[in-house]
Amino acid sequence: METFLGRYRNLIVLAAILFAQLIGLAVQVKLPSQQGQTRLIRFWAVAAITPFEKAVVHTQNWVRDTWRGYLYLHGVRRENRQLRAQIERMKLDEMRLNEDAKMARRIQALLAFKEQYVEDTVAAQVIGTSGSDQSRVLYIDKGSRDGIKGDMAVITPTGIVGKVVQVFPESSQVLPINDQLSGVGAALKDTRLQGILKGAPNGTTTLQYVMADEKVEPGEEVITSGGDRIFPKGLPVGKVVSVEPGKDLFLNIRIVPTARLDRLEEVLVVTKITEKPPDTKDLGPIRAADILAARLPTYQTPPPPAAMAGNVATGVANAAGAAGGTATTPPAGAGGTAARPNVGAAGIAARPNSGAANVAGAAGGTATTPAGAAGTAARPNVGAAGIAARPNAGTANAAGTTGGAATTPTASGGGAVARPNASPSAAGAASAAGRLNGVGAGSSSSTATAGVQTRTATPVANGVTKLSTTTGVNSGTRSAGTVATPPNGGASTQNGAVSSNGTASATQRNSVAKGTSSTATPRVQPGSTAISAASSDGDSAATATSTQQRPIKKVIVEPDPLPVRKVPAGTANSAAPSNNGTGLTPKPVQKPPQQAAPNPNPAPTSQPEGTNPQR
Amino acid sequence: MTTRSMAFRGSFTSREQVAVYEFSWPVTVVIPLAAVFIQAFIPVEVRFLPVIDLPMMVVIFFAVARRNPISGSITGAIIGLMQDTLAGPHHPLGMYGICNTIIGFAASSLGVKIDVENPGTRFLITYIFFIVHQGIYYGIAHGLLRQTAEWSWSHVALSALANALLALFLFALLDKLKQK
Repeated sequence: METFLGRYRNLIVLAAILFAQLIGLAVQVKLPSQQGQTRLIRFWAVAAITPFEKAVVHTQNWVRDTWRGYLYLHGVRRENRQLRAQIERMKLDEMRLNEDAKMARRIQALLAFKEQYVEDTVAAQVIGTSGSDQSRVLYIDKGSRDGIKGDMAVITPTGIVGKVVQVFPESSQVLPINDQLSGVGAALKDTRLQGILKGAPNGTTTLQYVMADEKVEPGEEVITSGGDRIFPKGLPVGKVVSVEPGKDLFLNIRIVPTARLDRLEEVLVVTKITEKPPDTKDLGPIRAADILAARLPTYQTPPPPAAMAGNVATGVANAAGAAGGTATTPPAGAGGTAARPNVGAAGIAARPNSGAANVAGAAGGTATTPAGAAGTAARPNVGAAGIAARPNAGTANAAGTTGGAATTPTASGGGAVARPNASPSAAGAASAAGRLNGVGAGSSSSTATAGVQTRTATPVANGVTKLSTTTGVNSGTRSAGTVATPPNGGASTQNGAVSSNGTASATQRNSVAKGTSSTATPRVQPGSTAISAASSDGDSAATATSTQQRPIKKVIVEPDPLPVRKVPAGTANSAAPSNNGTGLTPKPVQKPPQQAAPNPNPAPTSQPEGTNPQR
Repeated sequence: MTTRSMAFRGSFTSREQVAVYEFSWPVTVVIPLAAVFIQAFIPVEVRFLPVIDLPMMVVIFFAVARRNPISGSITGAIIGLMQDTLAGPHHPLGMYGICNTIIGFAASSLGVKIDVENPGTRFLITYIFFIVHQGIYYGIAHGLLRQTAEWSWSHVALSALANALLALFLFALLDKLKQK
């Protein structure tokens, strides 16, 4: 026995050491440490090595800062000039983006979105790594005594770094996003596709679980999605560098992190994230339309066509003014409104026109100033303007035409903006415009959505046309471009912020005018054109809440001199004289040259062009 | 330097007696700690350093200098466990420990048979042991722990080359710490 042990002593010792370590491995695999707990041996090792690392790093920083701050100043003046110029450029960008940010916060507030804010951070210095090619963890010089806890996000101004995985009194261990054990909820910024960002053993990062049939382009930015509940939503992550087919029908999207993970010196540990509604205190006074829009329902089941026929543009102002363009659907009245909610899209679409409409009114109909000083100055009108710029896509207007992005020739002196109906119930009517003073400044641009209804003017007798709505299709189409044809010489408009296909069909005439602020009383007048609902004042237009409705179950009017016809999307139309509901006698509005000649043989029905009921 | 003349059967060295070196306690403690510290700290500034495995080089150096398999195994186990403690929480303790234990045992066993004072020999054994080290680590990670692990021959070969070249200078430096 002694001979055996003596002869194989080395091997026996080796086997014993290996066996002990294998047992240790098995125990760790079988009984992993709980979250937040640290094995004692790791605690000792880190506690022993951290002071040395801190001393070296701080000494190094002191030497470097002294050299760079007091001795090596080559090129500092030139760099200073460049930075000043950059600041000026960024100020301009900030002014432009600030308006968009306010609008976004306002919409978020109305939709009860809760936003995550990085409320508190702790700056930390990277003092070490794992020293292993297989593990990429980092050590920072802040620990539990500085308020660091596990699962806190670690970021830099350029992008996310990782999360805290272990905390020691004087230091913490960070698992970077390129570690093979890391996983971060991420999304592509443009396409909004979500996936999981994972590291690889070789240090690369890939966005996984994006379906192979999705189109992802190299160069697209990747941001955090907030789904992991560690990183707030919207933080920059990286950029797509390559897209390849992966396994299991998923794409293999390789990402290059925007944070230089191989050159990290200082990082920020997010110690507090709050989730709260966006702050709207600095967004100006809250308009009545906003409040009403928040209270009113946002969607209603389209009523039967018969009911819709009688519903003429009620509650339009609500939809319009809501949230500066958030078009919520006005309540259906007795007649039922097939108003398409148009929430969100409409508002955003209308947004670029904010200020535009204001300008339009003031300048006689030019509508194009997206934001900017004019738009800002006319701040209260943002919502209204947005809506004003949001005629019913594809709705026709006074001329009784159908069509694309419509327009709102409006009127008003003094910058009043006619607000076309955002409700599809006013199908075919967008404008009511210009009814007030006949000043007909063409404004508006259509960027919005509109429900589409097909209305039919059916000849029922000699010279009599029965007006009815045959379908109430909410299309949610967006109009792209816009067109506006100022009847009176105002500049026409523009904007095409968002899209559209102005589908619609409004094949009737009738008109209705609409009103001023509080009541929108639809009326049908023989010989007039277009059902519309518009308010034609500036600010109050947004707050005009039309609640009164006069359902019209059956309308029989005199034959319309204007035939039913189709107008290509994007055409503008002028408003016809009508009563604006205020008792004022509207001045006749000159028809724009684009208006087609009357068709002596009006078709009994009209189908919207490009209408896609599924949209 | 304290040398003890020992006769080994089956030695491939031309010398009949192979010197066995010893080191002072401070050197025995400080050198491994310094190797682990540098390995953990330097990559903050020099990102490619993780391909360099200083602790493994130290294990090889002490093992071939002492020429004692038991001593080499224990040295390798301790240094390897120190590396493990600084790795991530998902890196179980013992992965580097097992690797370096085997390397220490093999290096000390080989040291009694060949002349490890020659630079060419040092280059070769470091090159081979690095590959063996990576292979053992891959086997543990992939085979035992079912972790995601990649094996790239080109990466391993280049890393082994870098380690072998650095080992020539490191061993020459550490030779000065041998006790007479």
